[in-house]
Amino acid sequence: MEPQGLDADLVGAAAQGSSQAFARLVERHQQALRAFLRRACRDWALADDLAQETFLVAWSRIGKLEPGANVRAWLCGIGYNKALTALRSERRARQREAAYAEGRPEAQSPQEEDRLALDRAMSDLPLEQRACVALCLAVDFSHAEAAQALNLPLGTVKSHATRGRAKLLAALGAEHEQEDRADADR
Amino acid sequence: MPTADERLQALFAADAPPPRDPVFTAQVFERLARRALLLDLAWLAGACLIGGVVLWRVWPHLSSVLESVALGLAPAAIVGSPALLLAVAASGRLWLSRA
Repeated sequence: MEPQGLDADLVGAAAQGSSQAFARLVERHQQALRAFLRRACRDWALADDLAQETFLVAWSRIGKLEPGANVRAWLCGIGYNKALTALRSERRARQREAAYAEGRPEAQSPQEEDRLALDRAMSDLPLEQRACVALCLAVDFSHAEAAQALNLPLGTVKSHATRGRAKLLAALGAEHEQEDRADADR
Repeated sequence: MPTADERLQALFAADAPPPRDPVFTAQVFERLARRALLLDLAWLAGACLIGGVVLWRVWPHLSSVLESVALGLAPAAIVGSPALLLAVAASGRLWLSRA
């Protein structure tokens, strides 16, 4: 059965009150939703908490989901709204965390440096752009799916994803160049 | 040496959660059950409150009706309660003898 068709069947059963069908939906879409929220929030515990809240909202609203709707885009849309609310209220705390992180000594392994560079670059992206990058690069959403999930025009999503990806690559490339320069100095 | 693009993909892949995480699914359902319980409790508390208020308002009228009904039922209760007691005892004895 096609994934979309399977989703439609599961949504239909869950709307009738089948918790088993809803459990299948949770299993099928948890990875995409959690990966997206982890990248959008940068805080894994918060992201998982928001993902769980997203599924709670989804359970109460599943009867209103139109037949044939893209379930993972719908879930990520709910998750994005939750992330927006959470991040607005935690912005100040995050600024303090960022200031603390800047003062910490950085890890030595190249992979760890890449990870830190990626985290820094992601956190520097505007939230909308970060969400587009998270969906299109980290979760393999199509631009159309991301536009549906984030309720943004398709052109905006394409532009955000392209610019965001360029910034991330530049951040990783710059780190790499610094390594090369350091090696050459030695 | 991998390119920046490959490293980016590898970093995203390394941070991806597992495809199916039973702990996460269990936590979702635990929260669903907790919320359903809270909703049930809220509904029950509301129903009790409304019932209490309604009873408090109608009690002056209801008490006289109940008194008259109770007086009418008293002879039937005097006869009926020993009969009910006997029936319960007999059915219990029958059930024990079959077991």
